[in-house]
Amino acid sequence: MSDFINSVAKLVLSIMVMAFISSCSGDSTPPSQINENSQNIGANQVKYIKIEDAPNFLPAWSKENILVYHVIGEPDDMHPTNGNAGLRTEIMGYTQIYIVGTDFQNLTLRPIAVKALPTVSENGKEYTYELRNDIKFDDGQKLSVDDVIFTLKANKCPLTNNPQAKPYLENIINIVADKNIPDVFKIIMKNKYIQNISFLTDFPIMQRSFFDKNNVLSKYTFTEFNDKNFKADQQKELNDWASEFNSAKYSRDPQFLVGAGPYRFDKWDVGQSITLVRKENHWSKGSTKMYETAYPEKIILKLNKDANSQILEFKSQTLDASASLSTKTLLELQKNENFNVNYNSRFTDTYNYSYIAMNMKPDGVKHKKIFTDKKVRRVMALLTPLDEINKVLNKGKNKRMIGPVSPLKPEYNSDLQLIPFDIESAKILLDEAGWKDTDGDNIRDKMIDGKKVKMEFNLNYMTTQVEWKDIAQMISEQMYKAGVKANLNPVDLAVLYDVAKTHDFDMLMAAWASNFAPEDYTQIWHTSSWTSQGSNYTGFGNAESDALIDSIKCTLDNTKQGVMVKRLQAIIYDEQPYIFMFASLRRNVIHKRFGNQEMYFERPGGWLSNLKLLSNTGTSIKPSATN
Amino acid sequence: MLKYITKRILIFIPTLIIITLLGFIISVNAPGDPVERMIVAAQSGGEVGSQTVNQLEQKKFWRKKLGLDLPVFYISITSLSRPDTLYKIYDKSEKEALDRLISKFGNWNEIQDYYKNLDGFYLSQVAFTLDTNQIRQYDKNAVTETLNQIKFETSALKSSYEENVIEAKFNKIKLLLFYYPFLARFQQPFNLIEYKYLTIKKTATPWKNYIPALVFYKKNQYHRWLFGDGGVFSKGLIRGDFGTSYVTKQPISDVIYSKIGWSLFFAMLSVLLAYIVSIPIGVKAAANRGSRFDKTSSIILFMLYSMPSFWLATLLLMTFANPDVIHWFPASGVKPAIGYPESAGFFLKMKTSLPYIILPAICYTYSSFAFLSRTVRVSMIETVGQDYIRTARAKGLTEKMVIWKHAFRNSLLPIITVFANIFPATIGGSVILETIFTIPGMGSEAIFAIQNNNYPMIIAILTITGFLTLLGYLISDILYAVVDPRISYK
Repeated sequence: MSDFINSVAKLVLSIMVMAFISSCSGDSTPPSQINENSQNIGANQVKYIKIEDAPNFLPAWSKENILVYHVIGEPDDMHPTNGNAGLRTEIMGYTQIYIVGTDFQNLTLRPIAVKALPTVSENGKEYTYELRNDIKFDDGQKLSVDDVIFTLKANKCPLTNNPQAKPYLENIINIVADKNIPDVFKIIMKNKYIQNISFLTDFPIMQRSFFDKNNVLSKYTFTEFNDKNFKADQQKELNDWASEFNSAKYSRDPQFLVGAGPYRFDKWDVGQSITLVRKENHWSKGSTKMYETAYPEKIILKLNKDANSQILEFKSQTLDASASLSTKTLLELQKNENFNVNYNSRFTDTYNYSYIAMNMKPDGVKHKKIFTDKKVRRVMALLTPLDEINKVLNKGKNKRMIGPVSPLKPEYNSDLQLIPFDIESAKILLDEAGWKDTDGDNIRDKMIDGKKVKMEFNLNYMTTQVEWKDIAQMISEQMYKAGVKANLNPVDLAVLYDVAKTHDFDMLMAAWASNFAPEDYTQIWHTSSWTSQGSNYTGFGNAESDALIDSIKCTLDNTKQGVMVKRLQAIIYDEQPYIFMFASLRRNVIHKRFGNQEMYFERPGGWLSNLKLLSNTGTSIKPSATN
Repeated sequence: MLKYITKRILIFIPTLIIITLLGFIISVNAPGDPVERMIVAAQSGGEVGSQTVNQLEQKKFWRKKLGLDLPVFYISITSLSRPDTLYKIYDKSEKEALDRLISKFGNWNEIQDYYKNLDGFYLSQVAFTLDTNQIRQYDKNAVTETLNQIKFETSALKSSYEENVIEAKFNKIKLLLFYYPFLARFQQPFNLIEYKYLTIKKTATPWKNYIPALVFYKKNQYHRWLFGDGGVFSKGLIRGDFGTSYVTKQPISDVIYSKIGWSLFFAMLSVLLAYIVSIPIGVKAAANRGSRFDKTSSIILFMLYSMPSFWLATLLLMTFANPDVIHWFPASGVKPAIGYPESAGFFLKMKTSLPYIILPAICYTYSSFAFLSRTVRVSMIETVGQDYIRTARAKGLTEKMVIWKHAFRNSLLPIITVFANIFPATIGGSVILETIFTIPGMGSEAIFAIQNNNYPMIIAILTITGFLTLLGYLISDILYAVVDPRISYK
């Protein structure tokens, strides 16, 4: 159970357009400069990119303190508990407050509604927090422990429609308010676990008196909600509360999308834009802390899915910022002189990566035992022309991965070397593994369990992404040169997911997203996730890797944890369950009329409320660099 | 006429039922599990993990909420061998395996017995742990690997139906049990499973598959969709509730309501513009058949007709919304990002939106010019050749009177036929134009629903489109009678 809670990596099978490109990772490399091929990302010395304010406020720049942010999709909904989209979380960063959040500059956790990160008990199961006493909701009511307890209880309630969030709360046993010290509370967890603090970054604090006027949830305990025999649907009062709480108005009606963040959710023009308006008398007014500033009067998230139209909007300066342009679009824009005069743009690293998974434990009936031998899996990596793919499809912008850990993380194992594209070595390895072309049809074969098996298999990928098809095509062509036949098999997302979790595939191409937080490798790499239809699609794992994963998830000492993670990376590298492809990049653009520009590796890539309009008068704000 | 209309409306009902049924057949047979999808990736990716108890409970909850725990339709034409409860197994692959086994062996009781034992066998493996003493005797890797293998093979057996696959898996488990004594406790349950499988084969009654049976389900997904579940989760289609979107978890009717406005606007506007432009061109071309105007207009209109809308839309954008060329129009949306001025009335809103509307309106409309004007032209040419037109001219009426008063009215029938297509086009929208111009319409919603297997939305669109098509034809039929007194529906 807690295995799931531990999960960090996030499946992005559908729309993750892994724009396998990169440029600046905080260094001085110009964005347009093409990377050296065959280079993986080095662990970054710099944790974010800071861009100097523009020396001049150009006359053509708008002086309106409204920031129009480009998006390519809309959130599924804005309910405080019942949503799953990344954009929803991004918006809530401005409209809600959390117990803890991400410190984008230092890539650590930061306290938000609490005075400091918690003190942790010796057994690693009790986390004591103290609430700040200056935080108020819009009606002037002070944030209290009551609200925190309500928030987590509402999320945990079996009748709340948040199936995606429930597993993350399985580890909570109880939340207890300190009887002696006001504003102090303790979260008691079932198990010691590396994500016992970071899980709170997903749950905005709700005002109890707004969402539960009759205080219904106070009549129920965490113990009851933890008990699988608890018949929540038979509790009338709880049902009535849940029906109201789950209703659509709390998902979309701005009047009900309330929170203690500095911005108010003002308007949702479906299919067009979402408008956030700065609260004039917010509790954080006057604060100089970066995450409490709210400079733009309005933040408008404007939808635009068409690449040509996006280019025109940036050329005409109707958009101020974006992290959603395609690589091709941004490269096109960067060729435009006016764009470079008006905007700062960078390709920034992320924690996401694409991969090709191989079925290490096929049934031998429906799927041939091709990838059971690690030599063969290594051959597949040797036959994958990643540098060529990078050059042809991504203008050489991509950065290659060697394993599941982002090079941005300190626990990244830099001793592991990239696997080169090498057909000749692949052929030798195949010969050694007993795969030879005995019948002259240019496809290698081998006797397995008394039967002749050809080295021919299906490579599954999603139909919706043209990029995937091109990559698959290039891989298939190279493999054929070594006597390996990969049949391209484009499938629907639902089918891809089904075959992956039931291990009904030979090879599949997909992508994972992750973040800066301490990672739990159970979901993707533990053997228990293979037998229980989890995300260990390949069948990777043995006693050592399982033991390492089990230890990593409950080791709070970073140094000790780092050693174990490096060892796990080495095992994965050696076993080669995946062909690790590229780390994806974020395409960041911000108009120069705003100052305080910073671009982060963690989602969402920028902190919009901290972007300060450089001039209200239109005159130069600083002496010109040339004067 | 009233009798005719009533009769036509009554015909709507079975037609709509067939349309909705078709939608249901598609959704039921579609790959993937909507609940898995909701939990896994609502929109842009989400969390995936092991099947935890909590997650299974959540899936159960959502199946109930969406009515997916019910049989599909009122009746099921099945065979004597099939149980009427197979729909209760929610795992699609396991259900399919059982279905195939029934098709082959025809003895549900034995198959059910085998399946239950298999399930219990799997659960006992999940709960199994080795004590420390035992672990010391074996290689750790071997223990982990063996336990995983036996769990996997057992789990895979639940979705297997081919004889050679089942036997291969049995052999694999046998080998594991033979080589690894710490699995001894599983030997007896496994022998029982093998025995149950042999029993299925021995007592096979495939003939039962050939005896048809009719099963009636009072509560079913289709009924729930039409009539709701008493208001707990759904009010039913007849009360305007199309169900819940798998993606946004919003009521489908809310999604449609929020999107249909602009689709309706552009559909009506484009038809209006198309008629305003095409009718005079068609009439003039017919009245001056073979003239330079006739030939030139034909060439121009057919050139326009042959241009793909995405190409023209991009061309227009790149020309008229481009600061590097001509910047007359905004590049996207239907109104400014900051919205309309406060307390703006309808006309001010329209005025504000006008620059946003012009380019899309051109793209929505231009392709209709050729078709409509040619339709009008052909119809008019046929009409002006009639005797009564010659008579009108002989009476000394002006050419204008002859064409517009006598000929035009009688040429309206094909135009009315075209008019009937407006209604379904409204809901269909135009995916390409909506994407290029960022128009919040039904076209993009439809494609988004298809991409995300959002079947309630797809069925809703299908149903509404069907209904509007029927309505369009009914209106056309009525208009035929209005414009042509010779047509009567008595």
